[in-house]
Amino acid sequence: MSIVLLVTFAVLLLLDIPVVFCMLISALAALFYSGTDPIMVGLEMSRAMGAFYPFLAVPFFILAGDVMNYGGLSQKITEFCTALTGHRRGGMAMVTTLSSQMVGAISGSSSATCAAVGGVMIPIMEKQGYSRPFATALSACSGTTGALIPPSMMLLIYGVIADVSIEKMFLAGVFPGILMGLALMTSSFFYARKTQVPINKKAGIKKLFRTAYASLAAMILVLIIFVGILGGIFTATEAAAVAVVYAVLVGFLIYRKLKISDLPRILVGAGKTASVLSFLLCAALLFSWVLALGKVPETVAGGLIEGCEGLLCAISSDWDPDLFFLAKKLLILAAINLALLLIGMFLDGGAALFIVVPVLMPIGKEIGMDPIHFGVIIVCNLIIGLVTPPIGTTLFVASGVGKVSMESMIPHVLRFLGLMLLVQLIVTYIPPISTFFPKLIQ
Amino acid sequence: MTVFFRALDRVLETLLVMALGSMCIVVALGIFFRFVLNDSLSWADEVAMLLLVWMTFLGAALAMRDKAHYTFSYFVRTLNGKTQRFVRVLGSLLTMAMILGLLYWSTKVTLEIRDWVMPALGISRAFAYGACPVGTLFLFFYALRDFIRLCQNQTAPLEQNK
Repeated sequence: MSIVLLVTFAVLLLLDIPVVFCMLISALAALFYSGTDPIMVGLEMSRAMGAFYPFLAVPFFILAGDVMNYGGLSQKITEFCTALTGHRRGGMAMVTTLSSQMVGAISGSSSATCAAVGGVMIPIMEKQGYSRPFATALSACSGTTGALIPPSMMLLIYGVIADVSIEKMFLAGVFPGILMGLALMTSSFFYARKTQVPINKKAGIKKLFRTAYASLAAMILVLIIFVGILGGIFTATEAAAVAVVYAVLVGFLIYRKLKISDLPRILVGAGKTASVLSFLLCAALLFSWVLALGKVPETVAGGLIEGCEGLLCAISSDWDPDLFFLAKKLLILAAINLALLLIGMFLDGGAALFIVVPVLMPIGKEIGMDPIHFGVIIVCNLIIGLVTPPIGTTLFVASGVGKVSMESMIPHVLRFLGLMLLVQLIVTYIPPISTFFPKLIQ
Repeated sequence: MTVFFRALDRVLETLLVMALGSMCIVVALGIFFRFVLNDSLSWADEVAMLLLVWMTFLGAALAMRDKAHYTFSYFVRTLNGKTQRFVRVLGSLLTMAMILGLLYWSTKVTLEIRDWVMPALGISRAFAYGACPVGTLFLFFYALRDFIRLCQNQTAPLEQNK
């Protein structure tokens, strides 16, 4: 049964059928094969949403991001970052990284971020003396890393599927996200020094304040969410609803770009984006229910653990029990890292989460992983996959935005990828980086 | 056919705006009541969930129209014109079959569940479960239109990988 499920799924995926229907059809095929009443398809699908109150936050965050962007938010953030770091060596590259991360956190989609910030920053960076492929590669990589900064759609979705507190997931993503940003900036700094990119004139204090004021509204939004959740005032869903109300008020009263007649269009756009995800969630619940029925997670976990134990026993016959457990854990984590990287290359982050989390959760439990730490590892890994050549989905979007070929971007992407993978290893093997903040709100 | 789909677009978009818009209002009201008036709205969560379910299935139909559902098109892009079209027609047929199946089984579930009542609102659960068959019906219309366009060769082939 599990073989029917997985093989059908893989074949259908190749046929250009939407992932959500691949999940449904393969689940149905497996149910037919095992002789279960296919009415379960209808039941699981319509029942799914009822159990997922936290998912309400997703449409709200998407809506808040769309409303803010409508008021020219990404441009204001970019201007502020330019005033802040534009005068340093490699400053414009830092601007791109910083603003992509901020916009990426709010918009929740790496492709959208890449289009919004890249569209503004790539021409500016080129004028400054950076090569266009470098600027495009940077904007692709930094846009994806925003997925770790709250309010992050991917951390939220993981929290819903794995039944982990969303508030804690948000806090767990902060530090790894900052590390990713620092990695990109470091790499850009050395590139700028090597290629002798000229330095900007330092922005006057006046300009700094003016741009800070203009982007203040956006900063406050992030602050409301962060403080609200950390202080235990709001749940993630409530914070998201507050964010929407706030974004609409700012749009009407401060930016004054928003009109009542714009709202329907924004609502349709956000509603559509959100329902792609929630529809996928329904299908994924059915899919993972069938997975569990066919005992796939246990089989995969068992096989992986046995394989790793076998490998360790082959290396040496007398292990200290504690050391053996540790070595096994490290080896399994490395195997998971590798598998996720591959999956991330083929599937967009959101969609991939729905497939891998139900399979990986039991493995994590088996080797004694903290589910919060495990979630950060998974999300981190999948976003790296998004920018891994030659398939990485965000790279495609970026090459369109920057109007450069994939081939010319690849050397620059590899430069960033090395450091991103290093951060991935640090996040994987040093748990406190992700678990320190969440522990504060216990 | 054009008139039908234009009307369908209009209806679905209006419903989606209403669903998401009132969802925001309901949750915001819930927060207002709890923090300011110290009185929780018993029905707020249930209404919000109900709206979320409707938004999901209506939005999924619109996403089908705009091809916004995630796909993995890398493999299909490696194929040349004729094979690519064959594979896409096959995929389209399978998708439609699945949508019809979903329509059938979710209608059955909705009918079976109609005597159950939602605790806070006191209305039949069919109001929530019904979103699936209704949304799926709309999904089917758009999938059918895609299929017809593919067969009539009106769909541009996907750009090949370099």
